[in-house]
Amino acid sequence: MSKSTVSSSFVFISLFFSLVLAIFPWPSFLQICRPEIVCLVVFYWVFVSPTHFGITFGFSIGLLQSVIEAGVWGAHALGLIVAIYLLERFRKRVMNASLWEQSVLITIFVFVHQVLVAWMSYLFAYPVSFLVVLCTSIFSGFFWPVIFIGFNWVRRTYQISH
Amino acid sequence: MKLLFRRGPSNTVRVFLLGICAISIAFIAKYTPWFDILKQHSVDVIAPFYMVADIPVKVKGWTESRTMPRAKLIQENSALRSEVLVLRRKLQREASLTAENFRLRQLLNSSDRVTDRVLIAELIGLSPDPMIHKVMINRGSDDGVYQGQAVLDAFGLMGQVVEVSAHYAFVLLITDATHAIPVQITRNGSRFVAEGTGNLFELNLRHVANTQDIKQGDLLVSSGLGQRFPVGYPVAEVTSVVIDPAKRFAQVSAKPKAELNQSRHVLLVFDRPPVGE
Repeated sequence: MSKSTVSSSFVFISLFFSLVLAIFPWPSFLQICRPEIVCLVVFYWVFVSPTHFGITFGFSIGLLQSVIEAGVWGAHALGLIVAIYLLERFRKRVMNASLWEQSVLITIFVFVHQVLVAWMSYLFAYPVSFLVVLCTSIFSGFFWPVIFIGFNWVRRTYQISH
Repeated sequence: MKLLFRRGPSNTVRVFLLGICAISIAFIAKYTPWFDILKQHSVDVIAPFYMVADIPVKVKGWTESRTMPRAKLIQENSALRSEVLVLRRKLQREASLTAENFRLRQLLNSSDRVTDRVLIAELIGLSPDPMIHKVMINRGSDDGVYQGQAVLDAFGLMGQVVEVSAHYAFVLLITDATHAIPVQITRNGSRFVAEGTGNLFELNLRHVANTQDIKQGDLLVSSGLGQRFPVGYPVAEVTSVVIDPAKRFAQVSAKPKAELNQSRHVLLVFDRPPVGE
């Protein structure tokens, strides 16, 4: 039982800080290469523990993210659930891929997420920049190994089951 | 920790249902007032995230104020003193001008404008999406902040309050793509509507006739039409006027006077009692 408490607090802390990083002030010229950390952290948890985290989990985190970012409510929720659906669908393929191949696949999933978020924003009169969508996905792909290796290391060091 | 039960609808069904749910939430939040109360309370829920994200900036400010060399402080102090002197002189002139204006308005039998009361607020966070121009400030309804209140910085109008909780509020900037503000040119009083473009340094003027007297360098001030913003605060300066006879309207863009990406301290103007009172 104690193991599961540790892991749930790690999940909670990682999500809290990913949401803080999502609104962390960035210099405006670097704005287009801000990786979508929340998306990556949610992907990680869905990836390592699909029995506990799934689409409903993604939906609630996505909703929270759009509320926090003061954007269109529900935009991130829609993007995340579709991306998680794809991730679960191709889970075996992602699992057996090498780290850089994983990054490529994750880039594609984040791209789907970003396109949906941008589409929702566009529905509500916000201008959409394809460059931002593309750069965010690519930088998120670069960031995936950092999250994957880092989180695995923490879990191994502190003997957290998931 | 069992968050999700595997039994239940399949993933495809789940994505479909929750997708519809997400889209309806977006529509309801945008087009109906049903979520308004939720929106006000959501500001309190998300404020901690902005507070945590603001810590590094706070630490930087604190260390800078602690480690500033004495010579620099003295220099800054004397610069501020001379600035105060210049501003005081301007203020002396303004007192007599206000009195004169008041008398003239009385002669014309029009209502006099009340001097606006202001409250200083600090900016504690901004929306990360480069297209959404919203900022969070550390004042809320406890300080008397109300929805629709105008927000200024030292140089011009910044935006208006859109969501208020007890201690925090969200401000929509004038450059947000969903924002428009009624303005007029100081030179000749012609009225326009200035729309945000999603670019922090640009506003577009809507429906400007090709024959309109408008040129580069014209100062746009808030006109007070629409009953939202107080009259006479500088909004933007016209940067380009492109007249194409093939098009119905001239393309006019303007640069906001307020330093939307730099100002950390903003002023909230109280020009009328809160809505509904």
